[in-house]
Amino acid sequence: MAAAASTISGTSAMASAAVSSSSSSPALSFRILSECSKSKARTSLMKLPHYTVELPMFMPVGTQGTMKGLLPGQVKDAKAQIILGNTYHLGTRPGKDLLNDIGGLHKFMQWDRALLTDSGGFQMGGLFPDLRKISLEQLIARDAPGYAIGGLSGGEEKDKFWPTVHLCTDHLPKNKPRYCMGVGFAVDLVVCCALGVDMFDCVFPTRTARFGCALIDNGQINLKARDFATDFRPIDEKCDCETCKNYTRAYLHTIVTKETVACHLLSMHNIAYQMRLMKNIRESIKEDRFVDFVQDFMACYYKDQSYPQWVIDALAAVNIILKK
Amino acid sequence: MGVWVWDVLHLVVGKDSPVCVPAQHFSEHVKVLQSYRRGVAHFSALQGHCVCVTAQDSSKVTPSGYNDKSGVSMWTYRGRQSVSIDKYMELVETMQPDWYEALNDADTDSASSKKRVSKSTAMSMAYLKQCIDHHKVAKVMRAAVGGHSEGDRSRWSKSLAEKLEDTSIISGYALLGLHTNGPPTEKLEPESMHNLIKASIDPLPADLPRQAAGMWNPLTVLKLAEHGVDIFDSAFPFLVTERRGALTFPCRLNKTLTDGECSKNDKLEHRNKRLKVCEDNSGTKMCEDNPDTKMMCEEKPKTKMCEDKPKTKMEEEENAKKEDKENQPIREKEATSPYEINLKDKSNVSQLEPLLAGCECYTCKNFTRAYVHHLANVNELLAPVLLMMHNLHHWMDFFTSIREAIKTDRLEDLRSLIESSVLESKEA
Repeated sequence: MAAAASTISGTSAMASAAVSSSSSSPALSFRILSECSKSKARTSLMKLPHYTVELPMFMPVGTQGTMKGLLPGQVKDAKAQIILGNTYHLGTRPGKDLLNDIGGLHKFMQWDRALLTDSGGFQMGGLFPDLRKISLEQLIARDAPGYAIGGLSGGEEKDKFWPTVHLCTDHLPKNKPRYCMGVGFAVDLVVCCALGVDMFDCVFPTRTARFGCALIDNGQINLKARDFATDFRPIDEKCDCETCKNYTRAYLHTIVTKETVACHLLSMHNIAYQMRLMKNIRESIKEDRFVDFVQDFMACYYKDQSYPQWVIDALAAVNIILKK
Repeated sequence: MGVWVWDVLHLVVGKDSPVCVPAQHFSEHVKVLQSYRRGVAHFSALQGHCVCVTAQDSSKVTPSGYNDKSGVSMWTYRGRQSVSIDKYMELVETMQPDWYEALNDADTDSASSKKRVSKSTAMSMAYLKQCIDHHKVAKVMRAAVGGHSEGDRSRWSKSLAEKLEDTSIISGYALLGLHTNGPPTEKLEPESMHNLIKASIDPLPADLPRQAAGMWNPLTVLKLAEHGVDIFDSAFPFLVTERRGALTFPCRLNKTLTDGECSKNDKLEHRNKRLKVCEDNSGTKMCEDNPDTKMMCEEKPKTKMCEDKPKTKMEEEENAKKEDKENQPIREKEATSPYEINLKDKSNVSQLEPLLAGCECYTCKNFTRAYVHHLANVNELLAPVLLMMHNLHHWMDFFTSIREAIKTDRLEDLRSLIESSVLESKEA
């Protein structure tokens, strides 16, 4: 069953079948733990057949039933709770029959936490408010276990992107998880959490790793740059991932974009970075200091407080005013 | 470096197993290592391992014809670098190895002319003297060269044995000049090597280890071991991994065969009818290096992701391109050997068994042939990671067996075990 497909309307049902590789009955239960007193941000628990995940969360993408050369244990070390497969790709190779024979994708790839398979594709790209509203009403009437806000990652302008998300989260039922597809930049994640989105996925952290980029709190650094040749610090002194615990920027500089292992090391760090960012978001919501978190995060990310207008507007819409 | 992160390496070998680091890969990073000051092992997150520095990477073809009076050519991502003796010693010093190979002009193989061989020996002798004069840190491994000429090899080794240098700084001998590295080494069969190895090794003193880097196939490894070579690297399992193969040749001799083991044994891919293979459950511990017997030197193979062409003369570029062809498309060639199965082969598509029945490696304990085939098929990065874990594990098992066979005087049995499986798979 094709689920979580992004549609022109920007919203579609996240069918239960999508959440595990084989299940057909409602496979998830959802419970809100705490809500931000100002914005729409919330933390919640989502119980899936293999694992209970804490939201908001980011899901790394492993299209082909593997995560960029990392062993399942390394993906766990990076604190990933769930990874994404692609129903279409895996249905073609290795195929549904083989996956059934072997006892499912979990067993095939030796991943014992949650897996979400989506179908990908279906991007028509449009942001028509009327259609979106009709679609929203229909979907809500269907009482799906969760909702995917899709069709938004095709590079549309940010000042059209955030109002769409804002509108969707206003109308979608509160007691169901909301999933914003293809969102992976740190700033977008923080803004979408403020708008009340619970789940995200994106190839960005692993793709950017391939080009030698490592994620840090004020964006990313490209380890190819000569500045790092004799920089014997880890990528991020605050990071406790295996890469930062063992390798220096200088060492990575000698191998990025040349050796595949550099890609593994940076993927590991970048996934860990996303996971830590989401954990910090969750903790700040639980302790009701999410607004402070957002203000500090943006002030660190944008030096000289040169915030883009869409970030200012989106956050203002949920009562968060950035520091000047 | 190579295909692994350090913690993956440690799923296969011990945390102090020797690793081999080719100087070639650090020749452009001398300044970095100088300011780092803690040596190449620490720099590469391999602290705790002992380190052997060789001049060239045995898993990559070294382009031929670039050594001259100014030095030995090393190939880096930026192209060719001519490394003089001073530069080499500076590099070795910053790398801080436990032992290193003397700089050498081992640019000879079976096709080398007499003139090239005599140049190679003359240059290598000069380098060796200079290495010893420069001596500061680690123990040097003297190069044993002489191309494919028995006379030259024997003369060379005799001359080394007669030298009256301070032997306390000599760590052993490196058997070089039989190949110019990379995949072609695999084709050197034991018969053709026999006399050459003998000529090089026999005159050498027995109390120092001998090292032979290269992508030797298992039967040639046995031949080298039989003649007294002590140290090898992991270039061959890397080669097999690059073409998405999994080593399956039988490498264990039985000690005492029980009924239970017999039935397990029946599942083995290459079963030798005469000798009976069995699992040695007691001997699965990795890397129990015994200085008296065989040591395993873990090579850190390099996988090129993007190609940097040498930025020198036109002619050089042409030649390098030609040589690079021999390095690059190991995968495309779809080459295989009688020692392995090919995981790109469609026959694996629904195989739910491990790469090798009874294998105790991480890959075999966790994944099916179908999964590894799937990964290889869609070109996922995890395919070489899992295959290298299996292949290196198998390779280490092979060396455990060699050590055991030497102790129990059964090297001949091990050889015929492997030979008959090679024959079987050639027939199939």
